[in-house]
Amino acid sequence: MPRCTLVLIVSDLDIKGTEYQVIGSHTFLTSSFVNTILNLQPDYRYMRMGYYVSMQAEVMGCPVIPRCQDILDAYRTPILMLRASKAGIATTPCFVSDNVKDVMFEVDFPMILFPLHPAANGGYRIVRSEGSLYRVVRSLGMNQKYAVCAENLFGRLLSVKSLLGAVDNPIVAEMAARVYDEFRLPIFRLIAQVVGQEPYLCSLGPVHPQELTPEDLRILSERIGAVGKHFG
Amino acid sequence: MGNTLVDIACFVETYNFLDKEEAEALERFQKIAESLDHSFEFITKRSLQRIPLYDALFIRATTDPSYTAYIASKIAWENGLRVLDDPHSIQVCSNKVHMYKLLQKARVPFIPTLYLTKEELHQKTIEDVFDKLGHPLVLKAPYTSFSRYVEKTGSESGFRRICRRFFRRSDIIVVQKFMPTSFDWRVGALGNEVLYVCKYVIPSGRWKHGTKLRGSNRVVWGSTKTLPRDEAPLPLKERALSACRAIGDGLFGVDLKEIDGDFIVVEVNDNPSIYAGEEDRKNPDVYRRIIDYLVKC
Repeated sequence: MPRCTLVLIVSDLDIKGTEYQVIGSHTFLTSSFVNTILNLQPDYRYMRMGYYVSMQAEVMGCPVIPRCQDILDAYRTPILMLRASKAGIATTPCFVSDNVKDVMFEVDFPMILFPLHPAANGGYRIVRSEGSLYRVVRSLGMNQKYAVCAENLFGRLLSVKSLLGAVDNPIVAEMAARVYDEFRLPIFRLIAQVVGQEPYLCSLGPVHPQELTPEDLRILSERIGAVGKHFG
Repeated sequence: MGNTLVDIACFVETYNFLDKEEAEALERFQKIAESLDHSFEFITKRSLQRIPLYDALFIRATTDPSYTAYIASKIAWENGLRVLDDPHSIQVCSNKVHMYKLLQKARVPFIPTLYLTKEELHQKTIEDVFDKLGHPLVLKAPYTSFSRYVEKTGSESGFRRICRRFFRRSDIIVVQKFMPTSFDWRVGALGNEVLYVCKYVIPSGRWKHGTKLRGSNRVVWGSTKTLPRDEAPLPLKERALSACRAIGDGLFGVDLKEIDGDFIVVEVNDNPSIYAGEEDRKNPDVYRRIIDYLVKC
């Protein structure tokens, strides 16, 4: 299969020192570039600019990283787990419901709860008792309008930034690379729990732009050249 | 499940049973399926884990990538079930920006449309938009469904107010020319074939099929006039199917306006309403055809 050449980076980050052309999201959306696109954003939430850049690229028929489908799947914990598990990544079993009794029957305390409502932004809550479970399910589920995703917390929780598959924690380095290979989100927050030295994937989420340090931007610039293998 | 030919799960939420006509339609789906020796079970967000046990999934709860219905669709898709609505159809039709861009790419005529980003919300752009589309115009949030989040304004202050509200959930919104008509055509289609055709009448003194009463949460709906699909204008059906082809081959409800003898697309919806005595009135085989599609290998 011929390897596509990466020719355009769409990013609102201060990316320097790369041989490729970098343009902002707004410029991309109001133009008609037909290139291979690396959409480099810290936040790909549905209906946010990062999502719309990938959508526009797909509509124009451009190969793009990440694809909309991968974005939607990666940020929806039950689907993330389904696909990650199929890809051979160790995951934490999850259970989806809006019913507290069902959650307690299926998942042991302590547990991590992820919201599945439209305004979810990658946050989670840790619950250690039945009393707080009722409160948190009601809150995250917006009074049972939406379900929640519950996972048993059986290890030490770890949250790291992944920059084009690279993380600064060796325990989850291989997992981050495999998650990146599967979902191709250039930047994401990986939440995992660790038992001994074994990590289990819990969730992915966006990274706040302020969390990206100058060193992170340097790493991104450095690693951009290796992205070409994911196209085509 | 057991000795049945195909096990169909129908994903619903409690609100699907609040309206008598919708509840009746769901019951008709079940009866038709069972009369053909298939099983048809209603499941909710509490039963997502059971989806892989079925052969097909039919989603009747409102779809959107942010809702549980999308998770249900995706679980079914990943497990190889036949599914209506499939994740791609939900992804495209639940976001009107995406849907219009695909119609544009396929050169399907639709209502004159502009897209506005948060950054563009300043006076010069607003003046340009009114110059291009006229007064009043229609603002549409990409996540609109059932006529909600579609508002008309003729003033700059109204424009700003609506935009600020819609921008809370989406960084891009849709602005369209106001094209009043006494009804919108609705063409239901499945697998690129017409299922039913009806007219969604705009209530008197209003401008859209479903309108919220001022100061109340109550929505007034116009009537639905159905005609046998074979008697509907051919150019209408062809235009509707061309819009469907731009999206996929699932179950869609295409809204169109008839202007000077031409048919222009208002929008393509996945998960179209099917209410007993309305969409099915002159095309009673709607239920059978959907079940047949779900059980097809």
